[in-house]
Amino acid sequence: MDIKNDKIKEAFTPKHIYVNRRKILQLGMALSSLVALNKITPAQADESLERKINTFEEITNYNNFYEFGIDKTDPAKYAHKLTTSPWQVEIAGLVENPGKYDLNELLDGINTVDRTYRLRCVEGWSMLIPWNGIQLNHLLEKVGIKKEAKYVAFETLLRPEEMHMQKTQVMYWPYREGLRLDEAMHPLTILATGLYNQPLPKQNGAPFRLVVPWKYGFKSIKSIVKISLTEDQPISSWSMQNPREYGFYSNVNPNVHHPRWSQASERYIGGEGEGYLGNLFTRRYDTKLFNGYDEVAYLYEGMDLSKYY
Amino acid sequence: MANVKKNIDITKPINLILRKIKPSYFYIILLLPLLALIIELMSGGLGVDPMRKIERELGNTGLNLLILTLALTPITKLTSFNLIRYKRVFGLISFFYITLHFLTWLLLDMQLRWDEIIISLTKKPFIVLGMVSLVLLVPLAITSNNYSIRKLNNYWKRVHFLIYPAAIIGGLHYMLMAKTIQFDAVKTLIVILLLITLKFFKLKKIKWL
Ligand code: HEM
Repeated sequence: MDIKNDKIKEAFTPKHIYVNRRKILQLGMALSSLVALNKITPAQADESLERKINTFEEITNYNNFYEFGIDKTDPAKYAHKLTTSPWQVEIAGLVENPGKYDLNELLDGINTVDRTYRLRCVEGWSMLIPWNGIQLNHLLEKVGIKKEAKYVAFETLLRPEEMHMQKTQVMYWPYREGLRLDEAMHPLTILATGLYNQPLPKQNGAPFRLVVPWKYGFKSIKSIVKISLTEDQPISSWSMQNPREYGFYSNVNPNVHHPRWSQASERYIGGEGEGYLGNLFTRRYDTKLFNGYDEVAYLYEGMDLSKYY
Repeated sequence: MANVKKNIDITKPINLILRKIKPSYFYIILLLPLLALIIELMSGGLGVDPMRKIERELGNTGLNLLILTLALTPITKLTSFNLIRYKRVFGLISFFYITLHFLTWLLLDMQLRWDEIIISLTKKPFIVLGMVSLVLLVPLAITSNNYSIRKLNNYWKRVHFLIYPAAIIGGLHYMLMAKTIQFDAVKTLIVILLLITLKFFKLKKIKWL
Protein backbone atom coordinates (compact mmCIF):
# COMPACT_ATOMS: atom_id res chain seq x y z
CA MET A 1 0.00 0.00 0.00
CA ASP A 2 2.70 2.43 0.98
CA ILE A 3 4.86 1.82 -2.05
CA LYS A 4 1.87 2.52 -4.24
CA ASN A 5 1.22 5.57 -2.18
CA ASP A 6 4.62 7.04 -2.82
CA LYS A 7 4.37 6.28 -6.49
CA ILE A 8 1.14 8.17 -6.67
CA LYS A 9 2.62 11.08 -4.87
CA GLU A 10 5.49 11.19 -7.25
CA ALA A 11 3.32 10.90 -10.28
CA PHE A 12 0.91 13.59 -9.30
CA THR A 13 2.95 15.96 -7.28
CA PRO A 14 6.07 16.40 -9.31
CA LYS A 15 8.67 16.93 -6.63
CA HIS A 16 10.48 19.80 -8.22
CA ILE A 17 7.28 21.79 -8.32
CA TYR A 18 6.80 21.24 -4.67
CA VAL A 19 10.33 21.97 -3.73
CA ASN A 20 10.28 25.13 -5.76
CA ARG A 21 6.98 26.31 -4.50
CA ARG A 22 7.88 25.52 -0.94
CA LYS A 23 10.92 27.69 -1.29
CA ILE A 24 8.93 30.50 -2.77
CA LEU A 25 6.28 30.10 -0.15
CA GLN A 26 8.78 30.12 2.65
CA LEU A 27 10.15 33.31 1.26
CA GLY A 28 6.63 34.65 1.09
CA MET A 29 6.03 33.61 4.66
CA ALA A 30 9.24 35.21 5.72
CA LEU A 31 8.04 38.43 4.24
CA SER A 32 4.84 37.47 6.02
CA SER A 33 2.82 39.41 3.57
CA LEU A 34 -0.29 38.12 1.95
CA VAL A 35 0.29 40.46 -0.94
CA ALA A 36 3.56 38.78 -1.69
CA LEU A 37 1.85 35.40 -1.60
CA ASN A 38 -0.84 36.48 -3.96
CA LYS A 39 1.69 37.59 -6.45
CA ILE A 40 3.28 34.21 -6.78
CA THR A 41 2.54 32.94 -10.23
CA PRO A 42 3.69 29.36 -10.39
CA ALA A 43 4.96 29.04 -13.88
CA GLN A 44 6.19 25.53 -13.26
CA ALA A 45 4.71 23.09 -15.65
CA ASP A 46 2.61 20.07 -14.92
CA GLU A 47 4.80 18.12 -17.26
CA SER A 48 2.36 15.44 -18.25
CA LEU A 49 -0.04 18.08 -19.54
CA GLU A 50 2.04 21.20 -20.04
CA ARG A 51 -0.25 23.13 -17.77
CA LYS A 52 0.95 25.53 -15.18
CA ILE A 53 -0.53 25.43 -11.73
CA ASN A 54 -3.37 27.89 -11.32
CA THR A 55 -2.65 30.96 -9.28
CA PHE A 56 -4.07 31.42 -5.80
CA GLU A 57 -6.13 34.24 -7.20
CA GLU A 58 -7.65 32.07 -9.94
CA ILE A 59 -8.43 29.23 -7.56
CA THR A 60 -10.15 31.53 -5.08
CA ASN A 61 -12.17 33.65 -7.52
CA TYR A 62 -13.76 31.02 -9.72
CA ASN A 63 -15.85 28.71 -7.58
CA ASN A 64 -19.01 26.70 -7.76
CA PHE A 65 -20.35 26.84 -4.23
CA TYR A 66 -24.09 27.33 -4.66
CA GLU A 67 -24.63 27.96 -0.96
CA PHE A 68 -23.16 31.40 -1.64
CA GLY A 69 -24.62 32.08 -5.08
CA ILE A 70 -24.82 30.66 -8.57
CA ASP A 71 -22.25 32.91 -10.20
CA LYS A 72 -18.64 31.77 -10.03
CA THR A 73 -17.62 35.03 -8.39
CA ASP A 74 -20.33 34.85 -5.69
CA PRO A 75 -18.47 32.54 -3.28
CA ALA A 76 -15.51 34.95 -3.15
CA LYS A 77 -17.97 37.74 -2.35
CA TYR A 78 -20.13 36.05 0.27
CA ALA A 79 -18.22 33.16 1.83
CA HIS A 80 -16.58 35.44 4.40
CA LYS A 81 -19.84 35.24 6.34
CA LEU A 82 -19.17 31.59 7.15
CA THR A 83 -17.97 30.80 10.68
CA THR A 84 -15.47 27.97 10.37
CA SER A 85 -14.19 27.81 13.90
CA PRO A 86 -15.18 26.02 16.01
CA TRP A 87 -16.08 23.26 13.56
CA GLN A 88 -17.77 20.07 14.60
CA VAL A 89 -17.89 16.98 12.46
CA GLU A 90 -20.29 14.15 13.08
CA ILE A 91 -18.99 10.69 12.37
CA ALA A 92 -21.92 8.35 12.06
CA GLY A 93 -23.22 5.06 10.77
CA LEU A 94 -21.16 1.90 10.51
CA VAL A 95 -18.08 3.08 12.40
CA GLU A 96 -16.40 1.86 15.57
CA ASN A 97 -16.16 5.31 17.13
CA PRO A 98 -19.19 7.37 16.17
CA GLY A 99 -19.72 10.79 17.66
CA LYS A 100 -19.29 14.50 17.26
CA TYR A 101 -15.70 15.55 17.02
CA ASP A 102 -13.99 18.87 16.96
CA LEU A 103 -12.23 19.06 13.60
CA ASN A 104 -8.76 19.45 15.14
CA GLU A 105 -9.34 16.44 17.31
CA LEU A 106 -10.46 14.43 14.31
CA LEU A 107 -7.42 15.32 12.22
CA ASP A 108 -4.97 15.00 15.09
CA GLY A 109 -2.18 12.51 14.46
CA ILE A 110 -2.98 11.95 10.78
CA ASN A 111 -0.15 12.50 8.33
CA THR A 112 -0.61 15.50 6.12
CA VAL A 113 -0.10 15.28 2.37
CA ASP A 114 0.48 17.78 -0.44
CA ARG A 115 -1.17 16.93 -3.74
CA THR A 116 -1.35 18.89 -6.93
CA TYR A 117 -4.42 17.62 -8.74
CA ARG A 118 -6.25 18.46 -11.88
CA LEU A 119 -9.81 19.49 -11.16
CA ARG A 120 -12.29 18.82 -13.96
CA CYS A 121 -15.67 20.51 -13.64
CA VAL A 122 -18.68 18.93 -15.32
CA GLU A 123 -19.19 22.31 -17.02
CA GLY A 124 -16.17 21.67 -19.20
CA TRP A 125 -13.42 23.66 -17.54
CA SER A 126 -10.47 22.58 -15.48
CA MET A 127 -7.77 23.82 -13.14
CA LEU A 128 -4.60 22.51 -11.56
CA ILE A 129 -4.64 23.01 -7.80
CA PRO A 130 -2.00 22.44 -5.11
CA TRP A 131 -3.95 21.04 -2.16
CA ASN A 132 -2.80 20.25 1.34
CA GLY A 133 -4.73 17.82 3.49
CA ILE A 134 -4.96 14.24 4.60
CA GLN A 135 -5.88 11.02 2.91
CA LEU A 136 -9.49 10.11 3.58
CA ASN A 137 -8.53 6.47 4.19
CA HIS A 138 -6.38 7.51 7.13
CA LEU A 139 -9.30 9.30 8.73
CA LEU A 140 -11.66 6.41 8.12
CA GLU A 141 -9.16 3.98 9.61
CA LYS A 142 -8.85 6.22 12.62
CA VAL A 143 -12.58 6.19 13.34
CA GLY A 144 -12.82 2.48 12.55
CA ILE A 145 -14.74 0.97 9.65
CA LYS A 146 -17.30 -1.71 10.43
CA LYS A 147 -17.36 -4.75 8.17
CA GLU A 148 -20.84 -4.07 6.78
CA ALA A 149 -19.90 -0.61 5.52
CA LYS A 150 -20.00 -0.27 1.75
CA TYR A 151 -20.36 3.46 1.13
CA VAL A 152 -19.38 6.79 2.63
CA ALA A 153 -21.87 9.66 2.73
CA PHE A 154 -20.96 13.31 3.26
CA GLU A 155 -22.94 16.39 4.15
CA THR A 156 -22.18 20.09 3.93
CA LEU A 157 -23.07 22.51 6.69
CA LEU A 158 -26.68 23.70 6.76
CA ARG A 159 -26.72 27.23 8.11
CA PRO A 160 -28.95 29.54 6.06
CA GLU A 161 -28.04 32.59 8.18
CA GLU A 162 -24.52 32.36 6.82
CA MET A 163 -25.18 30.60 3.53
CA HIS A 164 -27.93 32.75 2.09
CA MET A 165 -28.77 30.56 -0.91
CA GLN A 166 -29.95 27.87 1.49
CA LYS A 167 -32.99 30.09 2.00
CA THR A 168 -33.91 29.42 -1.64
CA GLN A 169 -34.92 26.25 -3.42
CA VAL A 170 -32.28 26.17 -6.14
CA MET A 171 -31.08 22.88 -4.68
CA TYR A 172 -32.06 20.40 -1.97
CA TRP A 173 -30.09 21.41 1.09
CA PRO A 174 -27.86 20.42 2.70
CA TYR A 175 -25.52 19.49 -0.13
CA ARG A 176 -24.85 15.75 -0.04
CA GLU A 177 -22.35 13.50 -1.72
CA GLY A 178 -21.23 9.92 -1.51
CA LEU A 179 -18.54 7.49 -2.56
CA ARG A 180 -18.21 3.75 -2.68
CA LEU A 181 -15.99 2.63 0.20
CA ASP A 182 -13.21 1.44 -2.11
CA GLU A 183 -13.23 4.84 -3.85
CA ALA A 184 -13.08 6.57 -0.49
CA MET A 185 -10.20 4.34 0.63
CA HIS A 186 -8.17 4.96 -2.50
CA PRO A 187 -5.02 6.86 -1.57
CA LEU A 188 -5.73 9.51 -4.20
CA THR A 189 -8.86 10.57 -2.32
CA ILE A 190 -8.06 13.33 0.10
CA LEU A 191 -9.69 15.69 2.53
CA ALA A 192 -8.18 19.09 1.81
CA THR A 193 -7.59 21.52 4.62
CA GLY A 194 -5.50 23.96 2.66
CA LEU A 195 -4.14 25.09 -0.66
CA TYR A 196 -0.84 26.74 -1.43
CA ASN A 197 0.08 25.85 2.16
CA GLN A 198 -2.52 28.26 3.44
CA PRO A 199 -5.62 27.31 5.38
CA LEU A 200 -8.39 26.49 2.94
CA PRO A 201 -10.14 29.72 1.88
CA LYS A 202 -13.83 29.78 2.72
CA GLN A 203 -14.95 29.95 -0.90
CA ASN A 204 -13.02 26.73 -1.53
CA GLY A 205 -14.85 24.83 1.19
CA ALA A 206 -13.26 25.72 4.52
CA PRO A 207 -12.42 24.29 6.89
CA PHE A 208 -12.20 20.98 5.09
CA ARG A 209 -13.51 19.40 1.93
CA LEU A 210 -13.28 16.28 -0.14
CA VAL A 211 -11.09 16.10 -3.25
CA VAL A 212 -11.59 13.14 -5.60
CA PRO A 213 -9.50 14.06 -8.63
CA TRP A 214 -10.86 11.48 -11.07
CA LYS A 215 -14.47 12.58 -10.65
CA TYR A 216 -16.25 15.73 -11.76
CA GLY A 217 -15.74 18.59 -9.35
CA PHE A 218 -19.20 18.53 -7.81
CA LYS A 219 -18.38 15.21 -6.14
CA SER A 220 -15.72 16.97 -4.09
CA ILE A 221 -18.09 18.26 -1.42
CA LYS A 222 -17.15 21.36 0.57
CA SER A 223 -17.37 22.47 4.22
CA ILE A 224 -18.19 18.99 5.51
CA VAL A 225 -20.01 18.54 8.82
CA LYS A 226 -21.01 14.90 8.59
CA ILE A 227 -19.38 11.72 7.38
CA SER A 228 -21.28 8.46 7.67
CA LEU A 229 -20.52 4.95 6.62
CA THR A 230 -23.50 3.16 5.17
CA GLU A 231 -24.51 -0.12 3.69
CA ASP A 232 -26.70 1.41 0.99
CA GLN A 233 -25.66 3.76 -1.76
CA PRO A 234 -26.14 7.29 -0.44
CA ILE A 235 -27.94 10.03 -2.32
CA SER A 236 -26.01 12.87 -3.85
CA SER A 237 -27.39 16.35 -4.37
CA TRP A 238 -26.89 16.66 -8.09
CA SER A 239 -28.34 13.23 -8.81
CA MET A 240 -31.40 14.26 -6.81
CA GLN A 241 -31.62 17.41 -8.89
CA ASN A 242 -31.27 15.68 -12.23
CA PRO A 243 -30.51 11.94 -12.18
CA ARG A 244 -30.10 11.71 -15.94
CA GLU A 245 -27.38 14.33 -16.08
CA TYR A 246 -25.50 13.55 -12.88
CA GLY A 247 -24.98 9.96 -11.88
CA PHE A 248 -23.72 8.62 -8.58
CA TYR A 249 -20.29 7.80 -9.97
CA SER A 250 -19.70 10.87 -12.14
CA ASN A 251 -16.26 9.75 -13.13
CA VAL A 252 -14.60 12.06 -15.61
CA ASN A 253 -15.29 10.35 -18.91
CA PRO A 254 -15.03 11.93 -22.35
CA ASN A 255 -17.22 9.18 -23.80
CA VAL A 256 -20.28 9.83 -21.68
CA HIS A 257 -22.01 12.83 -23.19
CA HIS A 258 -23.68 15.47 -21.16
CA PRO A 259 -26.65 17.35 -22.61
CA ARG A 260 -25.19 20.76 -21.75
CA TRP A 261 -21.46 20.60 -22.04
CA SER A 262 -19.02 18.84 -24.27
CA GLN A 263 -17.12 16.31 -22.20
CA ALA A 264 -14.66 15.46 -24.96
CA SER A 265 -12.44 18.37 -24.04
CA GLU A 266 -11.97 20.93 -21.33
CA ARG A 267 -10.98 24.56 -21.19
CA TYR A 268 -8.09 25.05 -18.83
CA ILE A 269 -8.77 28.22 -16.83
CA GLY A 270 -5.48 29.99 -16.57
CA GLY A 271 -4.65 31.25 -19.96
CA GLU A 272 -1.68 31.43 -22.19
CA GLY A 273 -0.60 34.88 -21.09
CA GLU A 274 -0.21 36.68 -17.81
CA GLY A 275 -2.98 38.13 -15.73
CA TYR A 276 -6.63 38.58 -16.53
CA LEU A 277 -6.18 39.60 -20.13
CA GLY A 278 -3.98 36.55 -20.67
CA ASN A 279 -6.83 34.41 -19.43
CA LEU A 280 -8.97 35.51 -22.37
CA PHE A 281 -7.22 32.95 -24.52
CA THR A 282 -7.67 29.74 -22.63
CA ARG A 283 -6.65 26.47 -24.12
CA ARG A 284 -8.69 23.33 -24.69
CA TYR A 285 -7.24 19.97 -23.78
CA ASP A 286 -8.65 16.56 -24.60
CA THR A 287 -10.40 15.21 -21.54
CA LYS A 288 -9.05 11.88 -20.37
CA LEU A 289 -10.88 8.96 -18.85
CA PHE A 290 -10.70 9.26 -15.05
CA ASN A 291 -9.22 12.71 -15.63
CA GLY A 292 -5.99 10.94 -16.52
CA TYR A 293 -5.71 9.17 -13.15
CA ASP A 294 -5.52 5.71 -14.68
CA GLU A 295 -4.52 4.03 -11.44
CA VAL A 296 -8.15 4.10 -10.31
CA ALA A 297 -9.36 2.16 -13.35
CA TYR A 298 -9.25 -1.16 -11.48
CA LEU A 299 -12.04 0.08 -9.20
CA TYR A 300 -14.41 -0.07 -12.14
CA GLU A 301 -13.25 -3.22 -13.85
CA GLY A 302 -16.11 -5.01 -15.54
CA MET A 303 -18.49 -2.13 -15.02
CA ASP A 304 -20.28 -0.55 -17.96
CA LEU A 305 -19.26 3.05 -17.42
CA SER A 306 -21.87 4.40 -19.80
CA LYS A 307 -24.52 2.79 -17.60
CA TYR A 308 -22.91 3.62 -14.27
CA TYR A 309 -22.01 7.17 -15.15
CA MET B 1 -60.95 64.98 -33.22
CA ALA B 2 -60.87 68.34 -31.53
CA ASN B 3 -58.91 67.53 -28.46
CA VAL B 4 -59.88 69.61 -25.45
CA LYS B 5 -56.94 68.30 -23.54
CA LYS B 6 -54.61 69.48 -26.22
CA ASN B 7 -52.71 71.69 -23.81
CA ILE B 8 -51.56 68.72 -21.72
CA ASP B 9 -50.86 66.40 -24.62
CA ILE B 10 -47.17 65.57 -24.42
CA THR B 11 -47.20 63.43 -27.54
CA LYS B 12 -46.47 66.27 -29.87
CA PRO B 13 -43.45 67.74 -28.11
CA ILE B 14 -42.00 64.29 -27.59
CA ASN B 15 -42.43 63.45 -31.23
CA LEU B 16 -40.79 66.73 -32.11
CA ILE B 17 -37.79 65.75 -30.05
CA LEU B 18 -37.84 62.24 -31.47
CA ARG B 19 -37.74 63.65 -34.96
CA LYS B 20 -34.38 65.18 -34.11
CA ILE B 21 -33.00 61.87 -32.86
CA LYS B 22 -32.13 60.15 -36.07
CA PRO B 23 -32.20 56.35 -36.09
CA SER B 24 -28.63 56.39 -37.32
CA TYR B 25 -27.50 57.80 -33.96
CA PHE B 26 -28.35 54.47 -32.45
CA TYR B 27 -25.74 52.74 -34.55
CA ILE B 28 -23.29 54.47 -32.22
CA ILE B 29 -25.31 54.53 -28.98
CA LEU B 30 -26.12 50.84 -29.07
CA LEU B 31 -22.47 49.96 -29.44
CA LEU B 32 -21.69 51.54 -26.06
CA PRO B 33 -22.31 48.24 -24.19
CA LEU B 34 -19.65 46.68 -26.38
CA LEU B 35 -17.25 49.50 -25.59
CA ALA B 36 -18.01 49.10 -21.88
CA LEU B 37 -17.27 45.39 -22.17
CA ILE B 38 -13.93 46.04 -23.84
CA ILE B 39 -12.97 48.61 -21.22
CA GLU B 40 -13.90 46.17 -18.47
CA LEU B 41 -11.81 43.49 -20.11
CA MET B 42 -8.78 45.75 -20.34
CA SER B 43 -9.13 46.78 -16.72
CA GLY B 44 -9.33 43.19 -15.48
CA GLY B 45 -12.94 43.59 -14.38
CA LEU B 46 -14.08 40.43 -16.15
CA GLY B 47 -12.34 38.18 -13.67
CA VAL B 48 -10.57 34.87 -13.96
CA ASP B 49 -12.44 33.65 -17.03
CA PRO B 50 -13.06 36.67 -19.27
CA MET B 51 -14.11 34.57 -22.26
CA ARG B 52 -17.20 33.20 -20.51
CA LYS B 53 -18.14 36.64 -19.22
CA ILE B 54 -17.85 38.10 -22.71
CA GLU B 55 -19.77 35.25 -24.28
CA ARG B 56 -22.61 35.68 -21.82
CA GLU B 57 -22.65 39.46 -21.89
CA LEU B 58 -22.89 39.44 -25.69
CA GLY B 59 -25.75 36.92 -25.63
CA ASN B 60 -27.49 38.94 -22.97
CA THR B 61 -27.16 42.28 -24.74
CA GLY B 62 -28.27 40.68 -27.99
CA LEU B 63 -31.39 39.19 -26.46
CA ASN B 64 -32.24 42.38 -24.55
CA LEU B 65 -31.98 44.44 -27.73
CA LEU B 66 -34.17 41.91 -29.49
CA ILE B 67 -36.76 42.36 -26.76
CA LEU B 68 -36.53 46.15 -27.08
CA THR B 69 -37.06 45.78 -30.81
CA LEU B 70 -40.20 43.79 -30.08
CA ALA B 71 -41.37 46.37 -27.59
CA LEU B 72 -41.13 49.37 -29.92
CA THR B 73 -44.37 48.62 -31.78
CA PRO B 74 -46.64 48.18 -28.75
CA ILE B 75 -45.07 51.21 -27.05
CA THR B 76 -45.71 53.26 -30.16
CA LYS B 77 -49.33 52.12 -30.23
CA LEU B 78 -49.85 52.85 -26.56
CA THR B 79 -48.21 56.27 -26.56
CA SER B 80 -48.26 57.51 -30.12
CA PHE B 81 -44.58 58.29 -29.73
CA ASN B 82 -43.15 57.54 -33.07
CA LEU B 83 -40.60 54.84 -32.27
CA ILE B 84 -41.25 52.54 -35.21
CA ARG B 85 -38.47 54.04 -37.25
CA TYR B 86 -35.92 52.85 -34.69
CA LYS B 87 -36.88 49.23 -35.15
CA ARG B 88 -34.39 48.52 -37.89
CA VAL B 89 -31.34 49.81 -36.05
CA PHE B 90 -32.32 48.03 -32.83
CA GLY B 91 -32.88 44.78 -34.71
CA LEU B 92 -29.67 45.01 -36.67
CA ILE B 93 -27.50 45.85 -33.68
CA SER B 94 -29.15 43.04 -31.75
CA PHE B 95 -28.16 40.71 -34.55
CA PHE B 96 -24.64 42.12 -34.46
CA TYR B 97 -24.29 41.25 -30.75
CA ILE B 98 -25.75 37.80 -31.24
CA THR B 99 -23.35 37.17 -34.11
CA LEU B 100 -20.44 38.21 -31.90
CA HIS B 101 -21.87 35.91 -29.21
CA PHE B 102 -21.83 33.02 -31.66
CA LEU B 103 -18.33 33.86 -32.92
CA THR B 104 -17.02 34.02 -29.35
CA TRP B 105 -18.37 30.54 -28.81
CA LEU B 106 -16.94 29.26 -32.07
CA LEU B 107 -13.48 30.79 -31.77
CA LEU B 108 -12.64 31.39 -28.11
CA ASP B 109 -14.84 28.80 -26.42
CA MET B 110 -14.92 25.80 -28.77
CA GLN B 111 -11.73 26.91 -30.52
CA LEU B 112 -12.85 25.53 -33.85
CA ARG B 113 -12.94 21.94 -32.66
CA TRP B 114 -15.35 21.02 -35.40
CA ASP B 115 -16.27 17.53 -34.27
CA GLU B 116 -17.34 18.87 -30.89
CA ILE B 117 -19.02 21.86 -32.49
CA ILE B 118 -21.13 19.58 -34.68
CA ILE B 119 -22.05 17.41 -31.70
CA SER B 120 -23.02 20.50 -29.70
CA LEU B 121 -25.07 21.98 -32.50
CA THR B 122 -26.99 18.77 -33.01
CA LYS B 123 -27.13 17.08 -29.61
CA LYS B 124 -27.01 19.68 -26.84
CA PRO B 125 -30.52 21.06 -26.47
CA PHE B 126 -29.54 24.53 -25.30
CA ILE B 127 -27.07 24.95 -28.14
CA VAL B 128 -29.55 23.56 -30.68
CA LEU B 129 -32.06 26.19 -29.53
CA GLY B 130 -29.43 28.94 -29.81
CA MET B 131 -28.64 27.87 -33.33
CA VAL B 132 -32.30 27.70 -34.37
CA SER B 133 -32.85 31.19 -33.00
CA LEU B 134 -29.79 32.49 -34.81
CA VAL B 135 -30.81 30.84 -38.07
CA LEU B 136 -34.27 32.42 -37.82
CA LEU B 137 -32.69 35.84 -37.37
CA VAL B 138 -30.47 35.65 -40.45
CA PRO B 139 -33.19 36.36 -43.05
CA LEU B 140 -34.42 39.24 -40.91
CA ALA B 141 -31.02 40.84 -40.84
CA ILE B 142 -30.49 40.32 -44.57
CA THR B 143 -33.83 41.89 -45.46
CA SER B 144 -33.61 44.86 -43.09
CA ASN B 145 -33.16 47.41 -45.86
CA ASN B 146 -35.41 49.49 -48.09
CA TYR B 147 -34.56 47.50 -51.17
CA SER B 148 -35.84 44.27 -49.60
CA ILE B 149 -38.96 45.96 -48.30
CA ARG B 150 -39.78 47.11 -51.83
CA LYS B 151 -38.82 43.85 -53.48
CA LEU B 152 -40.53 41.52 -51.03
CA ASN B 153 -43.70 43.56 -50.69
CA ASN B 154 -46.24 41.72 -48.56
CA TYR B 155 -43.88 38.85 -48.14
CA TRP B 156 -41.55 41.08 -46.09
CA LYS B 157 -43.98 41.21 -43.16
CA ARG B 158 -44.17 37.46 -43.09
CA VAL B 159 -40.40 37.15 -43.03
CA HIS B 160 -40.18 39.62 -40.18
CA PHE B 161 -42.74 37.74 -38.18
CA LEU B 162 -39.80 35.39 -37.50
CA ILE B 163 -38.61 37.73 -34.77
CA TYR B 164 -41.25 36.25 -32.45
CA PRO B 165 -40.18 32.58 -32.62
CA ALA B 166 -36.55 33.71 -32.65
CA ALA B 167 -37.03 35.61 -29.39
CA ILE B 168 -38.92 32.80 -27.67
CA ILE B 169 -36.35 30.21 -28.72
CA GLY B 170 -33.52 32.55 -27.68
CA GLY B 171 -35.17 32.85 -24.26
CA LEU B 172 -35.46 29.06 -23.98
CA HIS B 173 -31.79 28.76 -24.92
CA TYR B 174 -31.01 31.04 -21.99
CA MET B 175 -33.23 29.06 -19.64
CA LEU B 176 -31.71 25.67 -20.46
CA MET B 177 -28.08 26.67 -20.37
CA ALA B 178 -27.26 26.02 -16.71
CA LYS B 179 -27.51 23.33 -14.10
CA THR B 180 -30.27 24.93 -12.10
CA ILE B 181 -33.25 27.11 -12.89
CA GLN B 182 -32.21 30.56 -14.10
CA PHE B 183 -34.49 33.15 -12.56
CA ASP B 184 -33.27 35.86 -14.90
CA ALA B 185 -34.05 33.64 -17.85
CA VAL B 186 -37.55 33.01 -16.56
CA LYS B 187 -38.12 36.76 -16.19
CA THR B 188 -36.81 37.33 -19.70
CA LEU B 189 -39.11 34.69 -21.13
CA ILE B 190 -42.12 36.18 -19.35
CA VAL B 191 -41.38 39.58 -20.87
CA ILE B 192 -41.05 38.04 -24.34
CA LEU B 193 -44.33 36.14 -24.01
CA LEU B 194 -46.05 39.27 -22.71
CA LEU B 195 -44.90 41.29 -25.69
CA ILE B 196 -46.09 38.59 -28.05
CA THR B 197 -49.46 38.45 -26.35
CA LEU B 198 -49.82 42.20 -26.88
CA LYS B 199 -49.69 41.51 -30.57
CA PHE B 200 -53.10 39.87 -30.38
CA PHE B 201 -54.74 42.89 -28.82
CA LYS B 202 -55.78 46.05 -30.59
CA LEU B 203 -53.77 48.56 -28.63
CA LYS B 204 -55.07 52.09 -28.22
CA LYS B 205 -53.30 55.16 -27.09
CA ILE B 206 -53.47 55.56 -23.34
CA LYS B 207 -55.70 58.57 -22.61
CA TRP B 208 -53.71 60.25 -19.89
CA LEU B 209 -50.75 60.79 -22.11
C1 HEM C 1 -25.54 28.74 -32.50
C2 HEM C 1 -25.92 29.76 -31.79
C3 HEM C 1 -25.60 29.97 -30.33
C4 HEM C 1 -24.66 29.37 -29.54
C5 HEM C 1 -23.67 28.29 -29.93
C6 HEM C 1 -24.77 29.94 -28.22
C7 HEM C 1 -23.99 29.57 -27.13
C8 HEM C 1 -24.13 30.05 -25.86
C9 HEM C 1 -23.31 29.68 -24.74
C10 HEM C 1 -22.16 28.68 -24.79
C11 HEM C 1 -23.75 30.35 -23.66
C12 HEM C 1 -23.14 30.35 -22.26
C13 HEM C 1 -23.48 29.16 -21.46
C14 HEM C 1 -22.67 29.10 -20.20
O1 HEM C 1 -22.43 30.12 -19.59
O2 HEM C 1 -22.28 28.00 -19.86
C15 HEM C 1 -24.87 31.15 -24.08
C16 HEM C 1 -25.61 31.96 -23.26
C17 HEM C 1 -26.58 32.81 -23.71
N1 HEM C 1 -27.00 32.97 -25.01
FE1 HEM C 1 -26.39 31.95 -26.61
N2 HEM C 1 -25.77 30.87 -28.22
C18 HEM C 1 -26.30 30.93 -29.49
C19 HEM C 1 -27.33 31.74 -29.93
C20 HEM C 1 -27.98 32.65 -29.14
C21 HEM C 1 -29.05 33.50 -29.59
C22 HEM C 1 -29.61 33.51 -30.99
C23 HEM C 1 -29.41 34.27 -28.52
C24 HEM C 1 -30.46 35.33 -28.42
C25 HEM C 1 -31.52 35.43 -29.12
C26 HEM C 1 -28.59 33.88 -27.39
C27 HEM C 1 -28.68 34.40 -26.12
C28 HEM C 1 -27.99 33.94 -25.03
C29 HEM C 1 -28.21 34.42 -23.69
C30 HEM C 1 -29.21 35.48 -23.27
C31 HEM C 1 -27.33 33.71 -22.85
C32 HEM C 1 -27.20 33.83 -21.35
C33 HEM C 1 -26.37 34.99 -20.94
C34 HEM C 1 -26.26 35.12 -19.44
O3 HEM C 1 -25.85 34.18 -18.79
O4 HEM C 1 -26.61 36.17 -18.94
N3 HEM C 1 -27.72 32.89 -27.81
N4 HEM C 1 -25.07 30.95 -25.44
